[in-house]
Amino acid sequence: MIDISKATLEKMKRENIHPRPRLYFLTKNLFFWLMFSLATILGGISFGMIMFITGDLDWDIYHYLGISVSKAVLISLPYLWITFMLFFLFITCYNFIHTRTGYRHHFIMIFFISLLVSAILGLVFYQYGWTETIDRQLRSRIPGYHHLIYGREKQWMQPARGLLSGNITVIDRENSILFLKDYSNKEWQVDISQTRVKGMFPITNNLKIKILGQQLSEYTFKAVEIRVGRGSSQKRGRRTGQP
Amino acid sequence: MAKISDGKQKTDAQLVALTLKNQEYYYHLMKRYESSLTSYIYRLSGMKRTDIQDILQEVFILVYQNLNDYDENFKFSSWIYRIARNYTISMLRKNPKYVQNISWDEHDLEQLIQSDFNLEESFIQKIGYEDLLQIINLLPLKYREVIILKFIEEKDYQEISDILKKPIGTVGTLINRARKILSKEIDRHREGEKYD
Repeated sequence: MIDISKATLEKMKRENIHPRPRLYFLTKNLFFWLMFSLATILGGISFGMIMFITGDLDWDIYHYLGISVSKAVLISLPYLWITFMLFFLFITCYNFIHTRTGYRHHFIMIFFISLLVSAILGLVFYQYGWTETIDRQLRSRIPGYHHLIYGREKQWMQPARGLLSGNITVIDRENSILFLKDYSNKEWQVDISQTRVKGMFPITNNLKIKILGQQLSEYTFKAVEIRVGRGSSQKRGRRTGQP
Repeated sequence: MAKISDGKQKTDAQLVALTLKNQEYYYHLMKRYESSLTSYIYRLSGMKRTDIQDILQEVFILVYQNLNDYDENFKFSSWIYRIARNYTISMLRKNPKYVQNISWDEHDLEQLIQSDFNLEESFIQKIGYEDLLQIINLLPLKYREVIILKFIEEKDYQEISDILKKPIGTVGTLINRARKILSKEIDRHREGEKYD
């Protein structure tokens, strides 16, 4: 009968087999922890972006449009960031499970704890205004990013549905008309004869405004309500440049 | 080669530390697990003796290569069983020709019946060892392997969790399901015999 242990030892000597260095395993373990940390932070950013984008929308306008709350939510969810968040959550869980004792915990528990950590991190990023900075950077640096996100800009650029926004270029108070340049640089003529202005602000040139009303023809619009584009005074003191 | 008696009084962890300094000590570690791992691989796979010897040799080499990864907070036996289990299963997947009908010896089956697996002896006597074995062979691997580890290898839940890399709760669930499936299969088998 073969002595397997003896035969194995001889084979190891013959083939000069040695243990892998400790550093190899330390690096491997460190890699999983690094990936875990990175994925958690990116998950946090994604969560923060979801909070920023959904919190940035005007949720009170849907009843003007005759849209139910559930439909409004379906339209407005930032699916791109939700996908990123789920992806990073999966990476977080995968890396945690592959740490030395990660397998001892249930996947569901790991998932929900990671979700909680992402939510807390996301809230921190959101509160400090970092998500807004990221959003601004992505909009300016990545072409087509704004098409992927149903943000405030997109929400207020639906003239056929009675929503319009842009910068005031000219005010003709005599005829109760103002001219507005929307975000695709198209000039609109807006009838403001029967308009209520929400909030206490003077209508001046270059002011960013949002209008609820009715499209009359290709570039004419009748305003029912005018709101100021959310400015620095209304949200966390940093917002600029958007409706 | 170091004398076998040198290793007998040493713990697994001590032998690991000594092996890292002197390869000869590894012989004692291998000798300690040679027989139990041979039985384990056989019960798991039903391979021929020569195939098992090949697998075991590769497992021992793998263990040696990864010795620096061994964490003393875990039982060495759980660690070596895990490597043996993973390697055996990967070989079974790569070479289905290995798979055979497992024929445990009567001692294994008696051990299973006498364990807290809750199979009534009278119940087993009615179907016989051969039929019981046939039923066990038909169980999916995930249930068969927990039965082997818990009731034949007599590992505790924590060890099984470390071997299978599954949470303890999942191990408990697998054992309970295995119990239920086995009882159901035995019932079905007996019903079938009645009608035959």
